[in-house]
Amino acid sequence: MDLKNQPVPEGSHLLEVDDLKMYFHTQDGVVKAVDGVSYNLDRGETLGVVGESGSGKSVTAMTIMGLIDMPPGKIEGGDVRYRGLSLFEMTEKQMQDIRGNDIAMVFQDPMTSLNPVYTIGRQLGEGLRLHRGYSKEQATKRAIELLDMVGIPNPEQRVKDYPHQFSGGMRQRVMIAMALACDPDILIADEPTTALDVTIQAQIIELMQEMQEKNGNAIIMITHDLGVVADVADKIMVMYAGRPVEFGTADEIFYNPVHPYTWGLVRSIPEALVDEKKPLTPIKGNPPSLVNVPKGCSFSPRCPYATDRCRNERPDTYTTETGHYSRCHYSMDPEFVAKNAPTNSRRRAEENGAADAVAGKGGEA
Amino acid sequence: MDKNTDMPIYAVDEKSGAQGGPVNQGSPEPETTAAAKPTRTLWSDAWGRLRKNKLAMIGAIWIIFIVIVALTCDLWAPQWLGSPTQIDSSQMSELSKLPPSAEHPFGTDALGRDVLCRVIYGSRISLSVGILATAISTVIGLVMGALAAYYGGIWDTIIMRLADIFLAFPYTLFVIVLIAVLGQSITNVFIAIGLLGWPSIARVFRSAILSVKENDYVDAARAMGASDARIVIRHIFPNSVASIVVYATMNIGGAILTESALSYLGMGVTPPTPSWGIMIEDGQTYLATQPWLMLFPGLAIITTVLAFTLLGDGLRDALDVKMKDA
Amino acid sequence: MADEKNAPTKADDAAASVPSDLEGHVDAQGRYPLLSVQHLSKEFPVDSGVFASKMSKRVSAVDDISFDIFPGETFGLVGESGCGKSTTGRCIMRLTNPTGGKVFFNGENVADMKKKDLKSMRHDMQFIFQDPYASLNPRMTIGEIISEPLIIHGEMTDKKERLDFVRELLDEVGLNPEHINRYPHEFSGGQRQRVGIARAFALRPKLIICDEPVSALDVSIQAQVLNLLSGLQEQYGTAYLFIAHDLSVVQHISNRVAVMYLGNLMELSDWKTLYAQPYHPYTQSLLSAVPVPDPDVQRSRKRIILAGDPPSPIDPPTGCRFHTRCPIAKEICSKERPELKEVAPGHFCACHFAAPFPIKESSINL
Repeated sequence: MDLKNQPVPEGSHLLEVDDLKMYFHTQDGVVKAVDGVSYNLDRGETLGVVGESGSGKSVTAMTIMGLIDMPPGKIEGGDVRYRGLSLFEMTEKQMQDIRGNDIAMVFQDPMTSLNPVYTIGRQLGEGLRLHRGYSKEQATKRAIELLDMVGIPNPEQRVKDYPHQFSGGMRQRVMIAMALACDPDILIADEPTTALDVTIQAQIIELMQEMQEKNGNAIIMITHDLGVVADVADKIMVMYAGRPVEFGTADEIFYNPVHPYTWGLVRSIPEALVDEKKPLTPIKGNPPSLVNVPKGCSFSPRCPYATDRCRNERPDTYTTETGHYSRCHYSMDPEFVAKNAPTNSRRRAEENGAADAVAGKGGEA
Repeated sequence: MDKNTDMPIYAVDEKSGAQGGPVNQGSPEPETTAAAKPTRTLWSDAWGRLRKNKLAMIGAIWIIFIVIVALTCDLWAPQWLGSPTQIDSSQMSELSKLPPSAEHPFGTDALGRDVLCRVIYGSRISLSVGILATAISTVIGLVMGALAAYYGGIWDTIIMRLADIFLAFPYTLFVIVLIAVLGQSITNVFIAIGLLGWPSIARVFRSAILSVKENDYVDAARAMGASDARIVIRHIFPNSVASIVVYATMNIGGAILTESALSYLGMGVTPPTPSWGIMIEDGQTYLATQPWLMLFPGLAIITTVLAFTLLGDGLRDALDVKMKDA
Repeated sequence: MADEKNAPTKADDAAASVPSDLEGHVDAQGRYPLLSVQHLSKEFPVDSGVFASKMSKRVSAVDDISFDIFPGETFGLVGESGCGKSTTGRCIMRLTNPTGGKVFFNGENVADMKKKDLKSMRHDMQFIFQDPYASLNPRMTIGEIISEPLIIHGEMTDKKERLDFVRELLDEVGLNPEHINRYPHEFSGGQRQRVGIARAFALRPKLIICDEPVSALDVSIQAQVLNLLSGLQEQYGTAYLFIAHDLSVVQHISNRVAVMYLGNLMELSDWKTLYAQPYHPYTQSLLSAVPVPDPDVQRSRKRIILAGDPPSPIDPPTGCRFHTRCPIAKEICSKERPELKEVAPGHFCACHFAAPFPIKESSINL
């Protein structure tokens, strides 16, 4: 059965995550690692998932892939549907067919995600032999094509090499080649460039975009770096303490964010300085323990605008017509948003008038 | 997947610190959860984790029980069960090989002695061999391992190759040869088992030190100007001692087994001193007819060794700081 | 509070009689540098152990680099992983021994100091580590950790005085002084890094080497720690050698910035010029590769994406070490190593074709 060749049922999306909850039961209590995540994804789209460590962004992806050990993990609610079929109702055998074939994943650490005792060619071909029943020769031939596709020079030779003979950036290319080997519908990339240098990061992002253009797959890009999602994402989900706090198109998140946590993140990033030094604007305090999530809004202890209502009452999801949603009591109050949201290049451009709009973008550096 | 990274469990009280520099703590932030919990030391933390490990606690209780029995048996065992060694030749035929009963819970052996009493006194030999021999191995192993790891280079090469040579010999055979050379006595059993046990402890300690040495806090101490002695005592030793505690605990079980094997082979304790190994040797002749002669000392060995192994396993999990880290 | 011990130390005396090696190394105000790194090199043997032969290959991690750090300034050292920036810091602190060159701190050469002098040098120079988890001994309370430098250097022998001082330090770095008896595992990454900072400041050093102090932290915490570092610097006049891979972080904290590539210094300038007008093609491409959190800007700007990976330092390229990836390399680049030349006042660049924005749109296919 090849799910990805079947049409997406009418009224469904390629991937639908619906109020997903994944809790870990530990000695110290119940860790609500993922607590109510929802989104839809279609082919050709890129979803950026942004959050700090411990925000549940990786656990969400691992849950979709069925890679969480249960126990200690337990799905406490919600559903994940791929082409209209619930992944949670599938047998382990069906999940194995989906993993790598329909939904593939690229991990953060290219150093540990390749098996050191097998050649690159063998590891690349493994999925094809498993899912497509390729012969050894066919698999090797395809492996060479894949290496060539991800820009590894001299692929006929390199296919026989072992992982330690590749540099970090090259290994991440191999990982991408491996993930794309079976032409998956969805590519989940969990911090794919975090372990890499900036110049290599630029290469890898460009490669992923090129591959998406060619194959039309959807990408879920998990990262802590707003710069990376600005580059690739169509939609962005901002996560905090296991819950999505804001979701919208890239334009909405960057130019019209409504959640104070998103504002805090944007303000924390050191922006390029031109004339004078400015102190950074961090978010005060530390992320909460997931065992003991604050009552009310989980961001309220760190939120500079928090009121008693925030500290006591968990905010609902406020959604606009465009699907832009936020979990903040005050995000629907335009006055509050206008007063407190950080400025951005578009706003500056508007303020400066059309005449010097171009100068306002900050230019090259 | 690293669940640990997703479970921050730390003090949640940080002050804003937004502008760096001194921040006055005007109104103390509510510290509900953090303040309620008293500060735990790592040892008490480890104890808390050990306590939750049922198997390890069963092991520990069994060990404590045996230790108490071994220490106090002189006070009550002879009155209750008679002498573990003396043979009453007049009544021997009546008392010989009685099955377990209320009077003799574990039965009696061929010479009419109470098996329970001999098992109880046998624990003295087993425990003292286990603990003393392990102590000897541990002291030698710690010194050798520390020298090899801290000074490295030629020291490392010599000590570790020496350890390899020791480990290449068939262990029990080596112990037997050593006892044959030293003469057969209980003291020499301690010494032989102790002397031959050091290489594995040295290896464990060496690798523990080497991995601790990699940590930045060792570099941090050097960068502060700390002396070598301070680095070893304050930083390296406390962080590598856990692996030794674990290993030594398990090693006690191993030493008890070795002693039993030696006694069984007639190379350990000399009769009539009761030892579990000797009792098994004595009892095996009657395995088909009077199985209790072998069963009870055998059970004693198995449960005691298992208890040390379970406790060791539990300690390993409990003392692993990394479980709270990362 | 610690002023009495900051009274004239050996260092100030030494500054009065400046050794010949520091001549000509003055800044605009006529001050001598606090730290002067001169032709520093560090090679590691690739094999080690008994059977490593004398002929075995060597990794040239740092190759002939020179720079000065003046009192109270922050000197940023940026580069990609494996470029030797951390090794440079460790050589200066003598956590590893340099294989060539000199490092003058307070006018004395750290590179050939004996143990006793090293200890007194380490009173005035401290280190902040990258990994807030590995850099604190898990078996010590944070009080013990922060007092350790004081104990080692025999300061504040009175325990009560010492603990009061540690509490003050905790307050200063934004931690609750009541947590003095807690263990590192009870704190988050950002809080632990604050403990590391308190420890580094305990002796009121003149220079702190910060080796990627924020790269393991989340952005919101990173900003807190950077502000804390700036605040403490303002208060105590400490100089920083700030080692990082993140250009925007370095720009925020540094007065002057140097860019390293494969063991060589490529460009060195004040923070403004280096970013506004890079002269080295490597600096230019590095700046261009940093993703900007602004989709409009990302879509509109043209980026230079360097091909390939940095070569291995075991067999570094001849001539300019960057020539294998440089879009504007010519024949000379593979033959001659370019000197670090002053291309504008206070702006140094090691490139045969040093010019503002050397990579033009015409020189590569964008």
